[in-house]
Amino acid sequence: MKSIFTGISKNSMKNIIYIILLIIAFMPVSLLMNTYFIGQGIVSGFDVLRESYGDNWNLLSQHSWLFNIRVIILSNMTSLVAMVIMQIILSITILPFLQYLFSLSRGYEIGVMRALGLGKGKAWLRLLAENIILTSTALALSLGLTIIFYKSFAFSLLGIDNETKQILDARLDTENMYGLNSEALFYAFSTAIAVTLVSSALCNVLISNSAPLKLIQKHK
Amino acid sequence: MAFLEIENLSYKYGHGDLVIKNMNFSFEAGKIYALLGASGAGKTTLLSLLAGLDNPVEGKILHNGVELKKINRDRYRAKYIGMVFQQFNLLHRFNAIDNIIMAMEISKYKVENRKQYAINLLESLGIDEKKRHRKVIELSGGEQQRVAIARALSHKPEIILADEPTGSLDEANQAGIIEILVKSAKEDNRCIIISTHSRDVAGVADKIIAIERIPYINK
Repeated sequence: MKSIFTGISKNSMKNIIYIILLIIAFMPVSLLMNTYFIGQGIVSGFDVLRESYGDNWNLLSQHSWLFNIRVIILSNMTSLVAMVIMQIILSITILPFLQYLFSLSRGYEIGVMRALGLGKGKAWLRLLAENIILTSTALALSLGLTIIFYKSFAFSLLGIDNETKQILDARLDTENMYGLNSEALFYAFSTAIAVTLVSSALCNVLISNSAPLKLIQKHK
Repeated sequence: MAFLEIENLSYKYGHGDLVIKNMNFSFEAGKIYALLGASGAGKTTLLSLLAGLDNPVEGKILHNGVELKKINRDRYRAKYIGMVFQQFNLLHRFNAIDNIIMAMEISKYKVENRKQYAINLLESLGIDEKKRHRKVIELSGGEQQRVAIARALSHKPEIILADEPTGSLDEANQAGIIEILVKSAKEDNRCIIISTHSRDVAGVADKIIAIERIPYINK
């Protein structure tokens, strides 16, 4: 285990780039998913407001963001399904590619270690362990950044300016409406983790099964 | 007594001509063997085959009477083989000490304090304290070669396979490396197999194996 951390620390620059790329891959969907749930909260809050405003409805409808939200968000399950599909497509296209690059970048080291007698299984496990540590770091950072930025991201995407926010804050219980949604985080990160682990495991097979000398020569 | 033997060994790359053809030889402990031959004659290929890094197209390699094909070659390399590559093949971002500790971990060689053991080994090969802590890529060719030899010796293997270990070194460094290898064979009863172009290296060998397309042996 100590040697795995040694391996990670000795490749610090490569690993930092890898973690940044993973964060870039993980974050958009978690932000979008939260936006979806915030949007749904706002729209249902808006329905309550519309009823209470009655004839004064036009006053609120000047804020065109409400109509946009209706179109984008309030198609209920369809948009949620669309979000999940987008999540899966993003994950399946970007994450395996990152895993492949990660495995390739370890090719030389794994080749040398295999030439010194490291078994295929141990090489595979070593790569997977390194990757789990790096991916966990990227996930923790993504989660942290999501918590910091989800509200401003959602507000900017939904077109909620200060004036609108004041109207909503004055009339509704917005604390829950704007809250971080655990369901959103679950959808976003669980797919990403599953795709990362599966693609990492498969890419590692490619590297750990390659002939040691070929790996060394290829990455010289 | 022979503990590493090759019987009717042949090898070729892809669909090309045979590089090694019907080679027979026995290697004994405590002796130095020099593989002499022109570039492309198959010296490195033979070392790779002896290390179990590749498979012969025909014939056998036997270690203690057991065919390599029938044993776990990763374990064979980890336990019995110390490999010195022509291009050193060190872990570039690791320092000299970590390179040796990594090899010891792979071979599961047990000592009380691995770090101290690695330091002592490097010191005995003339790598001073300052250089031991540098990334190996920042060391000179001669120093990298010494680290590679230290790595090969670290788990006290029976066999050292050295691929042109003096190829890129000046005369002073060459003499140092030769001395280390001779000492290792005689004092620790190891079998050292060296591929070389150097007459100096061949001069210290107990046996010279001339590698051509069809090998022959001078004693």
